Amino acid sequence: MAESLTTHLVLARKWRPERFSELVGQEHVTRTLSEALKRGRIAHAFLFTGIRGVGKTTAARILARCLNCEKGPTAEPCGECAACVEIRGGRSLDVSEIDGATYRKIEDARAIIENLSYRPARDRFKIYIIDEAHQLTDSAFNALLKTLEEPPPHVKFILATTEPQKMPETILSRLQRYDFRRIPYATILERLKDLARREGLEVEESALRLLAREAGGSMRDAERMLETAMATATASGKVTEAEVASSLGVASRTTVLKLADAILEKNAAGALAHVRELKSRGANLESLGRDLLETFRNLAVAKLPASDADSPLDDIPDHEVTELKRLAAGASSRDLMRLFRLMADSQEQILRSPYPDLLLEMAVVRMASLAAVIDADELLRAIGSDKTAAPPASGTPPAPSGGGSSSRGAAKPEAASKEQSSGARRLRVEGEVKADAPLRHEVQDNSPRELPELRDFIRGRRAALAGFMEQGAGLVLDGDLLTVTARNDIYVRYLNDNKTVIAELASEHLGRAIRVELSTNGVAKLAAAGRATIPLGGNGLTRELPSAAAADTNNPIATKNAQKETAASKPVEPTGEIAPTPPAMDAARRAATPEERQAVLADPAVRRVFDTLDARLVELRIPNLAPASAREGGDPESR
Amino acid sequence: MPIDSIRGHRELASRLLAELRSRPSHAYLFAGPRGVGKALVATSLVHALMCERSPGENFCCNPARCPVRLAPQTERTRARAADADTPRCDCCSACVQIATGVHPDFTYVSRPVGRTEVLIDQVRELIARLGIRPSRSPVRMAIIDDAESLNIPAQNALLKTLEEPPGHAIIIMVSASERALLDTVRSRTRTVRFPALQVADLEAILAAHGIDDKARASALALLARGSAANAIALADGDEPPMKELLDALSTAKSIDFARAQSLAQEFFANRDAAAGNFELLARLLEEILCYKLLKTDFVAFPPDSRPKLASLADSLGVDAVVKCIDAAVRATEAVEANANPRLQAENWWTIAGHAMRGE
Repeated sequence: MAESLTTHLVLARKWRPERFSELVGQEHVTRTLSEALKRGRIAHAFLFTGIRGVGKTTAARILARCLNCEKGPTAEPCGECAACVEIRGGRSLDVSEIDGATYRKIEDARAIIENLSYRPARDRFKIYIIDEAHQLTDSAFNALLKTLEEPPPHVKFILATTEPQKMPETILSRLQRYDFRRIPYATILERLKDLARREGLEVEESALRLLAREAGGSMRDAERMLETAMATATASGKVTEAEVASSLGVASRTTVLKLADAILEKNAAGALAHVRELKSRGANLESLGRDLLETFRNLAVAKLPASDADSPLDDIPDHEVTELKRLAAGASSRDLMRLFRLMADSQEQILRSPYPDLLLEMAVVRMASLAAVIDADELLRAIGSDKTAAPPASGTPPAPSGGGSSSRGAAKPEAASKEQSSGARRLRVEGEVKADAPLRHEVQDNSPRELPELRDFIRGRRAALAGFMEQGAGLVLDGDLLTVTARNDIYVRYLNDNKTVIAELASEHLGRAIRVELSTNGVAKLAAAGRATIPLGGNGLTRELPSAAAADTNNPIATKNAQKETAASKPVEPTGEIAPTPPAMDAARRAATPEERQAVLADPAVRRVFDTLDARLVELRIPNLAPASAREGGDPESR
Repeated sequence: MPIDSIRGHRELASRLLAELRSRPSHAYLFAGPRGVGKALVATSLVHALMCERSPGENFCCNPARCPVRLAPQTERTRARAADADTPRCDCCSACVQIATGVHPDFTYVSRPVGRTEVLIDQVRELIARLGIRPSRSPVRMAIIDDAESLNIPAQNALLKTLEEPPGHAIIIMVSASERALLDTVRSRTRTVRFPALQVADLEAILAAHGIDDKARASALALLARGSAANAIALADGDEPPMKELLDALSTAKSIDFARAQSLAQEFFANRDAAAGNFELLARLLEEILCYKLLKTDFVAFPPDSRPKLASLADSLGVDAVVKCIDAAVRATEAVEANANPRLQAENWWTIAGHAMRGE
C-alpha cells in the first residue's frame, strides 16, 4: 500500500509537457519564445498569464530548461544534461520556483533580492519562477521594481499568474507579457485521446467529448476529470459516457437533450421529473443549467439554414446534431429564443442563489408551460379575417380627432382600427405612443357651484383624498351621479379604492344619495392635452393606438366591479367634446357575455397579445352579425 | 464495519477508499450540502488508511461506539474524555490519535471557534507539516474542513501545494460550497460530490440518535432536507412551524394585509426564523408542485397534514405555485442580503395571495 500511495502521480503531473512542441494550444506563445531563444534575444523578465490549467507553470519550467540547458540557450532543451534533469526534478540550485501566494511578504522579496548578486552555482542563469504572483503584497511588488527593471545579467524572472489585473501597472510594464489562451475544444479532445492511449485506457468517444466540453478550455481540468473517470471506471474496463457524467456530477448529453425535449413538448411533469432525478443523484445543478442554456443555443443554431449551421455546431457529434435538428424542427425559432432568454435569466439567478435546485425546477416548469408565441403577423391576419365578418366601415373618417392611451385600461385599439382603412388596421409596433389630438382641456364641471363646495368639504374631511381628486381628476355631477374622471392610472387606482369614501362624503355633503362613477376618459384627453408619449410594456414594443373611436365611449376602469356598474348605467357623455360613437358600431356589436369573456381571455393568442402589450381586457364587444365566428375565434375587440 | 456504517454514502466511501489504495489523487475536494456527512467520510478514510490493527474498510475505530470521536472538539470536553470514568474504546492507538487530533501524520484544519474564516496562518502551518515525511504511517494526510471559509489569500497559498504536494501527502478539502473556492483551487483537486441524504437514511440516523417515535422521525427527516446535521438540530431544538405555515397557506387565497402582517410578525420576525421559514414554504410548495405534476404522494409528511396538502395542491394552479416558490426563493435571498424580514414576509404573503387568486 505504501508504494502505491506514494508512487502514483495524477495525469496532469505525470504527463506534464517537457518541451514547447508538447505544449498544445499555446502556439502563439511557444513560437515567439522559441524564436527569441534561437536569436538570442531573451528578455530578463517574463509574465505568463491565463486561466487555470493552460500551461503557464509548465511553460515557465520549459523556458527555464531552455535557458539553462548545457547545450543552450536553445528552444529544444536536451533533457539529458544535469541542468535539465535537475530542473525536471525540482532540485536545481539555480532555478527557484517560488510560491508567490505563500511567500508574499516584503521579507520574502528581500530575500530574493539579497541573493541576486551571487553568480549561479553551475548553470548559465539564475532563474526565479514566481508562481501565483498576483498574491504578492504591494510592498513586495514595490521592493521588486528596481530588480525587475534591471536585474544582473545572470538573472531571469518568470512570473506566472491567473490574475494579472491584480498586479501593479509598474510591475506589468517591466515584464514581457505572454497571454495564454483557453485551449480549444478540439485540442483538448485530441490530447485526452492521446492520454487515454498512453494510459492504455478504453474510453468512449462521447465520454471524451463530454470531458473536453466540461473542461472549459483548461487542460488541467480535462486531465483531472479524466483521472476521476478512470478511477470510477477501473472495475468495468471501458469508460462510458454515463460513468463520466455521474463522476463529474453533470448530466450526460442524452439527459440534457431529453430534458430539452420535455420542455419543448410542453411536458412540465416530465421536465420536472428529469431535474429531480438529477438532483437526487447529486448532480451539479449549476452546470445542468448551463448545459440546458447551451442546448437551447444549439437548437436555435440548428434552426438556421444548413450551410450556416455547419460551423457553429461542429463541436457536436453527428448523431447529436441530428437529434438537435429533430427537436428544433418542432419549435419556432422565436420560441427557442424565448426559451433561451428565460433560461439565461434563470441561470443568472441560479448562479447567485443558495437554492439553485428550486430555481432550476421552477425554470424548467415555467419554460415547459410557456405558451407558444403567436407571430404578430399571424395574429393580425387572424384579426383581419375576423373583420370580414364584421360590418363594413361606416364611413368613419380616419381623422385623428382624439387619441391616446394609457398603459392599462383605456385602450380600445381594434374596435376603432377595424372600422378604418386597412392601413390603420395594422398594429403598429413603434417606439412610443403619440397622441396627436387637438388639445382639449379639463373635464368641465356641470354644476359650477356645488362642486367647489363639495371639494372644500372633502378637503376638510379627507385632505389627501381631496388632493388626489384635485390633482388627478375632473368631477362631473349629474343629478345623483358623480363622475370622477381620473387623469391617469395611479389616480384611477387610488380613487377606485376610495370610491365608497367619496360617495359617503358626497352624500353627506349634498344631503342626497350620490353614486360615484369612475371614468378613465380623462386619461386619454389629458394625455392628449400634454401631447404625452406613453411607453408601453417592458420590452420596448409599444403600440400606436388608433384614434377616433378609441376615446369616445367612456372607458370605465378595468376592474370587474366598475365594468358591471358601467354596463348597467348609461355612459356619461363628456359634453360633446369628442366625436360620438359611430352608430353603425353600436348596432353591429353587442357587449359580450361573461362566458364569452372567459373564452376570449383563455385563448392563448389573446393572452399573448395582452402580455406583450401589457394590456387588460376592459370591454369586449362581439359583432352581432357573426356571433358564431366570434365565439370560436375569440376576438379581443376592445380593451 | 465502520465504512459500512456511513449512512447514504457507503458506496461512495468504499469506492474512494479503493481509489486511495490503488491510484490516489493527491488532493480531493468533497463538496455537497452542509451536514450530509462529508467530513465523516473524510475522517473515516483517514482511519481506514492509517488504522494499525485492521486497515481498510473495517478499521477498528467505530464512530458509533467511540467516546473520543463522539466527544465535542473543545478542550474541556477533551480533558473530560481523558478522565478515568469515561468508557475506553477498543481502538488501536493510531485510530485514537486520529480521533483526538494528535496523530503525527494527520492534520485537521478547520475554522477556529469564533472566527468566520480559515486563516492563512493555519494553511501555512499545514503546508509546513505536509513537507515532513510521515513518521507513523505510509502517508501524511490532511483534512481541511470548512474549506468554503478559506479566505482568498489562504486559498492562493494552498495552490502550489495542491498542485504538487510532497509525494507522501494526501489532502482532503471539505466544502459546503464549490463556488466559494477559486477556480484555480477547484482545477487542482479531484472533486467528489455528495448528494443530499435520502429520507430513509435520515430516519435511520435519527433513530440512532434516539428518536424512537417513527412519525416524528419521518417528519424531521423531511424537514432536514437531506442534511443529517439539520435533522439532529431539529430533533434537539424547536420544531419548525410547518403545520402553522401549512394552515396559513391553505387560507392564503383570501389573505388580507392584516393577516399577512400578523403572519410576518409571528414567523418572520427575525432574520434566522424568516430565512428558515421562507425555505420551508418553498419546500412545501415544491412538494405540492411535485404532487401536481409528478403525482407523487406526500409520503414524507405526517398523515394528518396530507389531506390538507392535497386539497391545497388541488386548489392551486401550477402557475401560482411556481410564482409563489420563485417569490419565496427571492425573499430568502433578500433576507440573507439584509433586507427587512418582516417586510419581505408581508410582501410574500400578498404576492402569494394574488398568485393563488390567479391575478
